Amino acid sequence: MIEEEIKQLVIAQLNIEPEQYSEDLMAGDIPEWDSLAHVNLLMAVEKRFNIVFDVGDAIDIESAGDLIDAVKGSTQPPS
Amino acid sequence: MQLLTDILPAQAAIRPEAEAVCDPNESLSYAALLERVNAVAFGLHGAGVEPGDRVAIVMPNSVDFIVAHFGVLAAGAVSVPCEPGVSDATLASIVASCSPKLVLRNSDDVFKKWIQVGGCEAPKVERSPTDLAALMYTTGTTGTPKGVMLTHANVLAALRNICAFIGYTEADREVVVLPLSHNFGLGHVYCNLMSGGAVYTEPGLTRVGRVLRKIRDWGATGFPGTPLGCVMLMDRYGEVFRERCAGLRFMVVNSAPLPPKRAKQLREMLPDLDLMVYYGLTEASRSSFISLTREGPECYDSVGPAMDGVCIEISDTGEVLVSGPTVTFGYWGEPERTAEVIRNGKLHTGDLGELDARGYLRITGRIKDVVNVGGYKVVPEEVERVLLTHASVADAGVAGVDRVEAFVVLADGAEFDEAELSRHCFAQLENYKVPTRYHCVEAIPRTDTGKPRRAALLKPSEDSSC
Repeated sequence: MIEEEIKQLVIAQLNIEPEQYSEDLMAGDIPEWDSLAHVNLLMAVEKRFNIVFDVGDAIDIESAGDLIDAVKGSTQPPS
Repeated sequence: MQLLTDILPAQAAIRPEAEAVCDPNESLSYAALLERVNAVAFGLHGAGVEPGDRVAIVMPNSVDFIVAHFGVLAAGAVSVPCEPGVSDATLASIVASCSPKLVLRNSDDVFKKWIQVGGCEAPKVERSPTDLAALMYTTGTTGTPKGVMLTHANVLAALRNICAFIGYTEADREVVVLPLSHNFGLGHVYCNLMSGGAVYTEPGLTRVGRVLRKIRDWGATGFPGTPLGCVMLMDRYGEVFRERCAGLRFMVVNSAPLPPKRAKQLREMLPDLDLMVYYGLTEASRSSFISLTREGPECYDSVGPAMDGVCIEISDTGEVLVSGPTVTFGYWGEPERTAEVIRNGKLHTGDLGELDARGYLRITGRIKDVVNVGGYKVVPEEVERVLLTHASVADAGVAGVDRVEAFVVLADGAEFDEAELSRHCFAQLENYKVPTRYHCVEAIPRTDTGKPRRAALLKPSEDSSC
């Protein structure tokens, strides 16, 4: 399930406690999610799902929820 | 203009309705900014802050930060800007060092109350150009923060040079995401306000899409950054960076050397950009400046000639020495440390450099072992001390170039657990100090006196890992 996998990736990449995670958690909300961590997180997600985000989409990914939407958009055919 | 506190009243008289500062949440004209600054100064005065008292500011980049900083100055006090993510231990060191009368946070009810009061006049205080304006805490070689004393005259001497070199005008609008607790970011705020321009600020490049959108939609003319930030923007977000930053007039890149190949890449991506770099320490802001655009590729490894009134020399040992009106007169409460660094009026920078026939400076290396992570200075000893408090670590060494790497020798029977070591460091250190790579090694190479040989750590032999 994409939601759960993103959750685990965010927790692992940012070194945060599971209780700190929510889909509304945004870059910059916590000190652990700074610009370098953001890039590393995007790369980890790309590697895990074997996708490459379009730059125009990646640049506006700001939250865990945005990541989930972006992965879904990259891995699922449009209905 | 003799004092930093002269800047806002002068601009508010000339262009009261012009936009001065903004962040993602609000925008203030010069008149509104001055009113809010006066309200904070009035509040500080009422709270017992007197001229010369220190006031620490722990706030993220925001309009509030700028208001607080100028409010402290308007109260005649000394601003002590701190990282918003400062650890309790570091803040305790700063507080112990300079005994601030107050520590201001924008989450404080009292601060929120002050900035809502209208119609205040700043308290009447007598200040002179040689009075302290700010204490800028930087990390020293021991990892203990040291407060660089900057007077109004020090800062204004640097600002006049920067404004002239960059050619700031009232038409400039600059997006500043560099930490305002550092001279580099704060300097760009000062320059715009001195010139009647405007500043947008937010904390870092974390919301990079929003920052680049602001640059395009707001019509920003300037965007100071670090080499690390530029590399990230070019490599990760190249197309969008190019499109949204096409209207920029200039970028100043600093806090670490910009590699020539990256300067070339940036010039190719944004050919109309005036790309500038400089050399400066907190102790001597902007000692030299150069426009790589104007000087051309043969100067991409240079940081330019000394600014007006500044003297740059190279000592017999190759160390860069700086003197002139921008140089601090020392570290707060540390006469011995000051005497080590400032001798005969010359700042001993700890950097190695060369001057060419035209007097252009090139930095060739660093005497100290400090790791520069995107402008944030990490002292290896401090990180080593934290690592050594973990039960699994028998010995530790820290080194790195642009990133912090940890080398650990395991205690008997212990297992190598990078995630656990990282958690341990995150719990005790600021984020940027936490190693991003961990190596398990059999021994830490040391000198005869027991100091880690950090260069050797970074070039381990193949059989040295455990």
